[in-house]
Amino acid sequence: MTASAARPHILEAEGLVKRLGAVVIADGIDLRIDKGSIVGMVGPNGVGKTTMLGLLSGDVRPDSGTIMFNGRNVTNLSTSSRIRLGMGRTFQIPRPFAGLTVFQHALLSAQQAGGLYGSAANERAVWAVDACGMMPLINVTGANLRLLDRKRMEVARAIAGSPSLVFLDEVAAGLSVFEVNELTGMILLLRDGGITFLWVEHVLSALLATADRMVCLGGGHLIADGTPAAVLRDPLVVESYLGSAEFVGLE
Amino acid sequence: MLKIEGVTAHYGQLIALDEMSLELGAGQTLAVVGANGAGKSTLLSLISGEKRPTRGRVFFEEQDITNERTSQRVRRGISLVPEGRQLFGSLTVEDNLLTGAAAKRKGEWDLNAVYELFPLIRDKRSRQAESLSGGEQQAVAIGRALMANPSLLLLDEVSLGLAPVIIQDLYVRLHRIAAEGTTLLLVEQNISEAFSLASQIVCLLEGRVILRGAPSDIDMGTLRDAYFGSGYSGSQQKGETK
Repeated sequence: MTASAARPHILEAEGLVKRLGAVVIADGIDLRIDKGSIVGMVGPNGVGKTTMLGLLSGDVRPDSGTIMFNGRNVTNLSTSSRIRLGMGRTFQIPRPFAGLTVFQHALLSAQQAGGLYGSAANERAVWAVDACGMMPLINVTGANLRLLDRKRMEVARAIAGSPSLVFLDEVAAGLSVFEVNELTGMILLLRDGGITFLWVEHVLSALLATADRMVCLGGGHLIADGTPAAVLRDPLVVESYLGSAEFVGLE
Repeated sequence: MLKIEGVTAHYGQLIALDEMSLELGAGQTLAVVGANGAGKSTLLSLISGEKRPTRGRVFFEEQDITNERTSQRVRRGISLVPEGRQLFGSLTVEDNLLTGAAAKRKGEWDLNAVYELFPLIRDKRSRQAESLSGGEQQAVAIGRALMANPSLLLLDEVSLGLAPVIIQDLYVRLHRIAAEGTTLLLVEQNISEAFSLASQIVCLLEGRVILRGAPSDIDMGTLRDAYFGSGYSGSQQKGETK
């Protein structure tokens, strides 16, 4: 499935160009994301997937190109402005505040990103913690969370800001196959609740279980774009990223 | 070759390993799996010498090494490929590899042998390690451990964050290292690769061995139960805190 005219685009990036020294991250990339979808992004190590998320979320400025978010040009807006407009993001390596509890992390996001105050912020934070299955840990501090729970809290923090679009950066890395199942169930529920996701991930089973669409980044271009099954059979993707098609079946 | 006898290890109040015992014969390949927090990395730390047990003994080639320093263990033939690679980012690839040879153990592994195993990093031998891709850095980390000519190679999550093609490539080379006689003990979340390489699987749950067997004897249902314990439900598993 490619972007259809019937579904509105929540994000439209056009002609994105970004070079870091000799490395071309984006060489005129167009990327449109349907509202309510889960788009998986794969690609070889070092190809610039995290930088792409930085471009879209505002941490990295493109050399040229435009980024429209919910119909508004955000190309020159800061990360914080984009977050207040409804973008959220998780990071590859979770870095929680050691002394803040899970609830306090979510509350900060509900206030600072979501613009909520008082009981509305409290309620939103509790909702986010609950949606990520972390109620039993709500008063545990960041220093005492194990990996799966730090990753869950990254998502809780992102969604507490009431985003309409969330960028996920390798949230399944380092999780056991069973923990990945829990994570994908959680993401699908959040999508059903109206959040759109762009998900960079090497754990393909996570994307196969969730994504409506997959894109593969390579050499500054999207070398494949389609259903996950089609993209993972694409000869270019197999050659540059998968190595062999059977591998996916084994996962 | 390796014998772990009733070890208990703590992090503060938390018990990471709970009177755990394990034996590994020379030439075997053992994959340790289990949920996050089950004690897998702690087990590697006890064997490599980064952490001491509160109780229990660790034997290597019949010698009690429980209280030996990491450097002494490297000289005995134990090398670790740590999670996250932990390279010296500002040093060149070659200098990183050479740090692995500090123990001066005799054996077949030297710069040439490592470059033959990982031709890609030969071309980048003069580059700073931090400028390499994730897969290349992992190759350097494995090469550095091999430079110590270990008889027991410990690998902590070598496939983490790597593209599938890179993971397959690494595992082809790990198969070769195992075939040449090095004993491997790996902690791995990538079940398919772990099962294809290992002769033995051990699953940890809350610091204890809950399941042990050949990969062909373990089905996914049994493994799932072993990951979470009997009567598992999602919310129960999340209920405990560290």
